[in-house]
This record gives sequence, structure tokens and C-alpha cells, in this order.
Amino acid sequence: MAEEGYSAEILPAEQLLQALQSLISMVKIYQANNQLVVSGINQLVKAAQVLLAGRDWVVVHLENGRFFINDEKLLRRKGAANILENFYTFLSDRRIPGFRIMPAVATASPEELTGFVQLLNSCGDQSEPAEWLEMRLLETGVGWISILQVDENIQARKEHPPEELEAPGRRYPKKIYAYTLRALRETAETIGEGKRFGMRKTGRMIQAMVEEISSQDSRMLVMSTVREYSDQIFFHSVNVAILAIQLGRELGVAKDALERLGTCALFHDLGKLTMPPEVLTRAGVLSEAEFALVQQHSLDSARLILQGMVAPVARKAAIMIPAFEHHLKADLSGYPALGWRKSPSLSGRIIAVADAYDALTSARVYRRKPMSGDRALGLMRVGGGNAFDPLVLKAFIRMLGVYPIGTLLDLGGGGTAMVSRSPLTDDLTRPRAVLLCSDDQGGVSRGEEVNLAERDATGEHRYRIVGSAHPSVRNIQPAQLLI
Amino acid sequence: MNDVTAVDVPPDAPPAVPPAAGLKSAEILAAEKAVAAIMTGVKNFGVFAPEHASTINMLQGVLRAITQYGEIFGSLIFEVERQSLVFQGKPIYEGPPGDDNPAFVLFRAGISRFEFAPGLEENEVVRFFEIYNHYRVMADEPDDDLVSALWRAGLPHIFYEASYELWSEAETAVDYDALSALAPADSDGPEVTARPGKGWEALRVESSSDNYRKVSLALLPNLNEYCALSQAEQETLLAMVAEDTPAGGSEAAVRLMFMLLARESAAPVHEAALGFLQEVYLNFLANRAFQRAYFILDNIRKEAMVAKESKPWALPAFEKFYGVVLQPEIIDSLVAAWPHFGAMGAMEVKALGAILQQLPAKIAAQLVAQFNKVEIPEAQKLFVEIIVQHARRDREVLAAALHSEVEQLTLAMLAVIRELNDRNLVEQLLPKFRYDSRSQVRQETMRILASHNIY
Repeated sequence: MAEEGYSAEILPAEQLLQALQSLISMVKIYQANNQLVVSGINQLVKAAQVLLAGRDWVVVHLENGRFFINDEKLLRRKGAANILENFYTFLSDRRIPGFRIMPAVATASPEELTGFVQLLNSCGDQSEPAEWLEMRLLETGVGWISILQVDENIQARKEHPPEELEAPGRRYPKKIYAYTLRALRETAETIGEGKRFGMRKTGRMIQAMVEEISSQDSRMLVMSTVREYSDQIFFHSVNVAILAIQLGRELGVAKDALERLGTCALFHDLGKLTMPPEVLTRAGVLSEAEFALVQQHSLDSARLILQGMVAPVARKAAIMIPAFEHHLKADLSGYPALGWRKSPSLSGRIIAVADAYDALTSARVYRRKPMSGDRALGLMRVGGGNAFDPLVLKAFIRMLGVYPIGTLLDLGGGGTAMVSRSPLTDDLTRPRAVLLCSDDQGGVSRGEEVNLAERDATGEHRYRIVGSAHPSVRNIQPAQLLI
Repeated sequence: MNDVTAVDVPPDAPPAVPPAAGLKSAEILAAEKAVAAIMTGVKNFGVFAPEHASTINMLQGVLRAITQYGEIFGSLIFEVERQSLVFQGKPIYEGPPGDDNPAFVLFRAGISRFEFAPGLEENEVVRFFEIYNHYRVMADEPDDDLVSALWRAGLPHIFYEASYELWSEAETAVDYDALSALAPADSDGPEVTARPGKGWEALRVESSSDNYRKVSLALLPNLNEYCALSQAEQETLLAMVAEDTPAGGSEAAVRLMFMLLARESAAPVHEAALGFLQEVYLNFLANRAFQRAYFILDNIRKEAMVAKESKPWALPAFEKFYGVVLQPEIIDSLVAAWPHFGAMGAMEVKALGAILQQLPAKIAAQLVAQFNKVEIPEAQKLFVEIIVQHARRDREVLAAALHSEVEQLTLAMLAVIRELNDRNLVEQLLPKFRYDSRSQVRQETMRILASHNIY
């Protein structure tokens, strides 16, 4: 077998780790008997059984940035690299060196299996997560898995020299963002020339975005915090695409449907390209006639897609409709007024939420100071009325956490931090954040990353959150600091 | 701890000895065989029908070669270069650049590495060949490409690495440091401006106000309770995802097209909307979704009437629509639906009847010719109704149906003639039916003739 050839065990090993990774987010939302969870469990058990064939156990351990399956380094295949890297990060964040799976996995109940994943999710705020996890498993009599402990016979080996956690993925979010922006600009230029626009480049970029987000990588979500006041339509559209795909993924939308959702979101404001610039840039109060022009933009987005997009009818329809619907509101009291009663599609409802959030957290001509993420969500929750589907909004909040990525947090005496990742535990008010340090040039630099859910010996939270603010108050683009 | 450093080797695998100089290893030979089979497949797929023995044999051969490789050596992986496929550093397939060279086609699509993993199934091979064939020749205005199509297909045992760097760094560089989230410091305007509208869009909260602090989600009472998802909510979310299908989008798109037709006043928009509706209409007909098809046809008829009155510039677009949907082969396909009458629901049958009634009279001639094929009584009844409707308006239809071999149809036409009460028509059409072999036809003919004093 060639050195970099893939053995027959690669796929089940990847499938095992991928199943665990998927279950980690699914059990936060769904119960054990939910079909998505059941499917994840089946994949986990099936993969484990393949690996267990003829063995007493399978050991998965982490070392120097790589997974090892029964002491054999798991080769990194491009198709699975992102997901595995994130699962590696998930475990290493919690200082869990690995685990051992026994044949009893075949007879473990779904509740036992999901119970383990829930414990994995909860151990983040423990001082010794691996030890705590192992104790919980022993207490509950779980016989199919045990947790390796930090000092358990794992040492750096000379034949596996330390390698930096290969981080090509860390370059991808910025590239994908830039390329998607470019694809949208080209589309806009083509529309401006009165020509039809092909979907080849846009399709590839949205697919790349879906792949990146499907690896449960919150770094793409970091990119959704990029703000550029003078070029809003394009940056806003890319941000809404990221947020929409991320939310769709959380809800269990299939990959091909995520592509459609992302494309709709990217094109949802195409109609603004045909609005008079003086209306778009008016800082003062709009007249009713001018607002009527604004209200035309969602129908115009659909029209531009209809006339311009080179695509089969079915695909065109799937892209047009959510773009048309995004201001309808969940109770159809929005615009344009419909001559029929039909609730917006799920994609339309997702885009409505993503669109509003990005708009509220951006400076606009009519609102020069953007709102912090927690305030935008609060306004949408309390002041939204029937504008948003309540479940879609709730899922969006669960996805972002109360303090979304990029939010500045005042920790009182503990300084200032920027939210860097979603919460590790079920407490959505306690994300992970990087401490900010002032540099010599009057700017800020990134300090260590802390888990705001951490508690001290007395059981109190180690960090107090006193206040929050939009990153623009410190002139920070979160993507520059966090990626 | 188990020591699993050796790979289990099947008993019939060749001995692990290095090949003699000049001889290829078993792995390379197996790879060459598999790649040769794949190359034959991509070139010949589609030449014969799917059920043809040549196609079946070819697909089985491809699958067999890849599977044989995979059982011993694992995934079959090769690098893709401009004119060649490379296996373990050596070309395993070469050819000149062009659409006939699979390596070139994959390379042009941006693919640098291709993998067939163990477990490959025949349907995946078929799908791969279909996609390859479709995108082998690059379109002028590509709506899509091979990589995107492969991605959507999600073939579980076929992997590839493809570059998405479709532009240069210079073309796409974003200077994130230079971006500014805020308006320029010297720009005019209040901090917050009211906007017409209601709900959240009308809400404005100034950052200096107390409300700004209080509106944070973190201060929501019972936040944890709010954030938890109940079982019922989870199920609702799942149902929402399941219901969000492309088919649903088509229906909404149809309504959107009519909204555009009603509101827009530019000919190109009408052309685009009617072009869209034409495709959807034909798809509905092909899938025997007659209610949906009728909805389109009926509403287009209404819009066409509006266009006649007040939008003459839109008439060419409507004429183009009817020119396509009234083509004989389209009508034939409608009529061909009748044998499936028994499997259709009542509403679909009614809709099909309504469609046929909207179509021009010449369709009735086809209906008359097809009447023999309709065996179900309810279908025959509806057929007759449609023919009668057309016959009332069109003498040719009336005459054709009158001369039908099917007694039921002839009698129906006699009833129409009686109803029309036109002596000239009676004189022209009926006399020979006095001698018709069917007694009921003869009797009815005599009654009608007598009523006009024709003996």
C-alpha cells in the first residue's frame, strides 16, 4: 500500500469521528428519538463495529494535532479535514486526550449514547473535564466507552515529531468571503450591462461556503461580522448568506438545499441595484413614495433573477422565491402585498432573520451607530412582533448565543474581551472570548482565549459580564482579530 | 493495547515482493485496468440506451475493475493534470487536450485529484458518467459546471479535490484593515432617523438612551426558559425542513409570475415571465399535474384578455406562449393521458377536461381519433362533453365526430345538430345516416329530418 494510500479503515474512522461531531450539536437541539439523532447514532455504532472487528476495543487518541486510531495516525483526507480538525479542537479545548470504545457499543441504548454526548457538551466548564467525564460514566454504569486520562501512556514520539495543527482551513474563510464578494460583484456588473449571468462561479463559491460551514467551523461565522459602510449591499449580502447557511445547517437542512438557501441569500438584495441612489443614500426621512421604491426591491430581486439567471426553471424558482419573500414577514403583513395567503418558505423566513440581524448590527444612513449583537437580538425578540417566525428566530439565537461572535464584552475589573466562539455549555450567555490587550500604537491585540462559563472554586463564574458593545466602538473588525 | 500495525492481507493477494526491474507491480496493473475501464466508460456512456447489453456490460466492467482494485489496495486515487492522469507519480492515461480527453475535462473543471473509494456502487458510476457527459463540452454561458454538479450529486464513494480559486489574488483581494464599519466622521445626518413602516423596522433606539442598554437579549426575563427548545418545537422545526421542497417553490413561482405580469409594464419582463410559465406548464402536463397546469392556462387567458385591452405591446409574448403550448405534439401528449384516466383523481380529470376545452377546436379532431382508446365510461362521457363543446362552434369538428364509428359519439353529434336547429346543416350532413347500420342512429336521424320536413 502506498504511504499516503487510504486503508479500508479510513472511512469508518472518519465516519465515527464525524458522527460524534454531528451529534454534539444535534443533541443540543433535538431529543434522543429525533430521526437526525437516531441517524447519527446509527452511523456512530456502525463505524465503531467496523473498527472493532476482531478487537477488544478501539482507541482514539489525540496527539500533536492529529487523531490516532489504535496508534495509527489517521491520514488527513481533504474531504474530511475540516470536520476532523474541528472535532480535534473541540476535544483539545476540553483537554480530553481521547477515548476507548468497547464492543458494548453495539448494544448501548440511544439514551446512553446521546447521554454521553450530552456529558461531552457539559464538561467544558469543569476544571478537569476528562476526569469529570470518566467519573460520570462510571457512576452511570456506561460500559461502551471510557475516557483516556491525560497521563495515560501518551507521550510525544520521535517518529511523530510535533507538527503545527495544519491550519489551511484558517485561510479559507477569508478567501471564500473575498471570492463570494467578487462573484456577487461580477453578477451585479453583468446585470448592469443588461446581460444574463451564469451561475458557475457563484455556485462554486456558495458550495465552498456550505462545505466550510458544514464542518461546524465557527470561523465562517466570524466572517459574517465584516462591515464596510460604503459598500453595504455587497458585504451585507455575503454576510446574510453566511448567516442563512449556518442557520439552515443548524436546522438540519440538507447540503444541496443549503446551496440554494445560500444563493437566495446572496441575491436577496439584487433589487437594490436598480433603486435610485439618492433613495438608498438618503439620511433623512423618506417620503411615502420613496419608501414605496424601497418596498419594490424584493420584487425587483426576483425579477432580476428571472430575467438574468442562466439556470433551469426549477432552480430559478427555488432562488427567486425566498429573495422575493424576505420582507413579507411571517404573518404576511410586510411587503409586497400578496394577492394570496401563503406563508413564506422556510428559506424566506431564514433570510428574513439573517437580513434583519445584519442590518441592525450595521451602520446605515438612517442609523449611524450599529447595535451590538445582543441588542439586535433583543430588539428582534421583543420588538419583532410577527415579523419573524418565532422558532426560526429562537434557533438563530441558540446558534449565535446571546452575545454573538464579535461582540465586545466589558468584564469589569477583568478587562475587555471579544466573543470568539459560541458557548461550550447550554448557558448561551457564557461564550468563549479572547481578552483584548492594548498595544503601543493605541490599538488592540488579541490575548488569551477564555471560557466565560468557567467557574471558580466557590462555584461563581470566574468572569463577570458587565456590559456589551459593537466592535466598531474600538474600531475593530472581528475577522482581523479572530482569524 | 492492541497492536494493529499490519494490514490484514487477503489470502489470495499476490506475495509482497518488490517487482523485478521493468515489471509493474500488481497495484499498478490493477490501477491501469481500472482507469482503462473508466476511460472506456466515459467515452461510451450514452452511446447505447441504458438497458442495452453494451451499456450494462460496460458499467459492470467499470465497477468490477474498480472494486477489484479497492478490495486489495483501498481507494483508487489519481492526480489530474492537463493531459494526463497520474498514479503514484507516473502517467496512467494520456491524451491531447480537448473535450475528448477525460483528463483535460477534469483538469479544466479545476479538479486536481480524484478518488474512487471502496464500496463504490453502480448507480454512483452511472451518475458520474451522466454528469461528466453533460459537462464535457463547455457551454458559452455556463449555468453550472462539472464540479458543482458532482458536489450536488453527493456521491458517497467518489471524492475529488478541486480548486475554487477562480480568480487571481489581485482580483479578489480585500483589505480588511481598510474597511470601515462606520460612516465617515464628517458625514451628515442624525444618529437615528424614523422610517415609515411598522414593527422592528420602525423601531429606532439611540445608543445614548437607556433603552439601548435595556434592549439587550441578556436582560430578557426567563431567558433560559425562552432559549430551550421543547419536543414539540423540535418536531415543528423538522417538519418545516421536510416541507421546504423545490416543488413548493414552483407553485409559489407561478403566482409570482402572475404578479409580475400584473404589475410590470415592460415587454422583456412579460417575455421572461411567460417563458417561465410556459416551461412550468409543460412540466406540469408531462407529470399529469393537470390542476396546476389548468391554473396557469386559465390565468394566462385572463392576462391575455387584459393585454388585448390595455397592453398591446405584451401581445407578442402571449402569442409566443400559445404558439408553443398548442403545438400538435403537446396536444398529442394530453390526449395520450386518457388511458391513465383510471389512475387520476376526480379533480385532475376535471382539470384535464378544462384544459382541453380551452384549447382550439382542432384538438377535437385528435380527440375524435383517440376516442376508441378510451374505455372507462366516465372518461368517455367527459370526452364526449369536450367534443360537443367544440362541435357547437366548429362544423368540421361536428362532421368528423358525426362520422365516427363510435355510436355514442355519433348520437352526441346528432343531439348537437338537433340543438343547432339549422336546416342547411341538416340537409348537408344527415341524409346518408338514414341508412346507417346502427338502428338508434337511423331513428334519431329520421326524427331530425322529419322535424325539418325533409323526407
